[in-house]
Amino acid sequence: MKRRTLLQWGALAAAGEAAAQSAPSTRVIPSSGEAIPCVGLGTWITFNVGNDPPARAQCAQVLRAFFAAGGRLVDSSPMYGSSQGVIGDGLRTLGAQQRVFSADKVWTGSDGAAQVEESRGLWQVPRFDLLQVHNLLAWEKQLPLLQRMKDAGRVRYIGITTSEGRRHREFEQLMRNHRLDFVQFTYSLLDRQAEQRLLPLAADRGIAVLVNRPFEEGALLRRLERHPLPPWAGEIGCTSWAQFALKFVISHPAVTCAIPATRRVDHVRENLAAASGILPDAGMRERMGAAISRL
Amino acid sequence: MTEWWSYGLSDFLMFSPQVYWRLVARHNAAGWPLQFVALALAAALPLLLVSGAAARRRLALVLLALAWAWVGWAFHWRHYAEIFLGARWLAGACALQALLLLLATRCRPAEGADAPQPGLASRLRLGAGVLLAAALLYPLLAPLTGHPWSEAEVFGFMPEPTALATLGVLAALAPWPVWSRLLLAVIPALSLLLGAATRWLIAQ
Repeated sequence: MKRRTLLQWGALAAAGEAAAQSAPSTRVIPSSGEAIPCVGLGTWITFNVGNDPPARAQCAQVLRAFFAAGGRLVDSSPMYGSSQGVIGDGLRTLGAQQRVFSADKVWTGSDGAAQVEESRGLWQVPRFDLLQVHNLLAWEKQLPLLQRMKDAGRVRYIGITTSEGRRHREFEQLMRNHRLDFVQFTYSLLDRQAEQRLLPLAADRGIAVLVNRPFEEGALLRRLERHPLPPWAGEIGCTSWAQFALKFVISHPAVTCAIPATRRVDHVRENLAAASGILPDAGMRERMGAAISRL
Repeated sequence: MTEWWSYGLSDFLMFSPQVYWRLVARHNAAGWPLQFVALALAAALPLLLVSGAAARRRLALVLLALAWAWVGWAFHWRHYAEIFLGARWLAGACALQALLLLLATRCRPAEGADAPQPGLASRLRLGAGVLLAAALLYPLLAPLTGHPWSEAEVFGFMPEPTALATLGVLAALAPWPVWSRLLLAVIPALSLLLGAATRWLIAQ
């Protein structure tokens, strides 16, 4: 057996061991019944490091820590610069192509199939678990393509995405009129717009929800770090504002998985830790929201 | 590129400041020590401009064209494209600017333009000053803003000092027709705007 294979197996064995110690909570994908950990890994900006070897190695370490802590879903897009290739190299180094729940997007007005194939090559995975139409771009063309790919067994789940409150009305129409496995949109302690219509609709239609920007690209945490964490945050196992913000998001009953992006190993561990232990109930969620609005 | 039309300015910043400056450092390291050659060329430009000979001014334009071509190829195409999807288009803009500068060498100076004109000396001084500031002062921004020398932005290597130097040359290039100088100023001006927007977004 090659040394490289042994190292990969060793890395995954260590990952499995760590995951068994404090496995993150899981949520069920309504369309299949499959359970996935409720905290994933976004890669916007953080994994776009180009061909810089130390930065790529750092990203591989983040992936390693993510899997070791029990994470599975990694999300990216052709729009994210070099992120897809960085993920692919990391997965190959760790031998984690089978472990990852690969979520990518189609983001083009032209040949979506060619773009998906190029993305798959960069990820170095046999097929994607989830493909989404990025920010509804050319959805009239790309959504039928993804549906055909799913019917042919070339992808397991399909969905649509938006962020920062863009095109919610159109997004809602698509949720009502199409067979979607996943939707992805922004939801955070600062941006609770999705609570009004999108989250209830997803629950009603049996659509899994990925939440992007749970920290508002860090702006939320920069705002909160000026204040002390409320003492009662310890009641739900929070040791940081990041865990406070993340527990709020993933405790919404309609949320399947939040995908905070980070390039730091300690942050990825902290994020996964938020997914284990006690989650806030409805009353505590109200308290959390009220506390933030007072700051 | 129609994909970008639905996005705001902040969406264009698809990399972190650390990654951007690391990229500048890697770009500088890949070209080292050609930065000294670029600086020597920049220092030669004012001498070529103050000379009355049209041939020397044309040589100044050729040197500028070389600088733009190098920025387009070495920075935008080879390095910036690693982290910015629009970089290949920027490389194309640099190639176009290089081509325009070469075409400008074929431009015939305006009638009587070589004759003494009021304000010509001050325009030459202004142009040479901007050029020298771009070549000598712009790289100092790195240490002055807390960055190591390896991340310095040098004329002929990075777009902004090259664009600034080009505007300086154009200001001093009095004998050339105004329309040609305005045309040659479009891409440098846009480049400076883009650089300012990138810096502003990085600082957010």
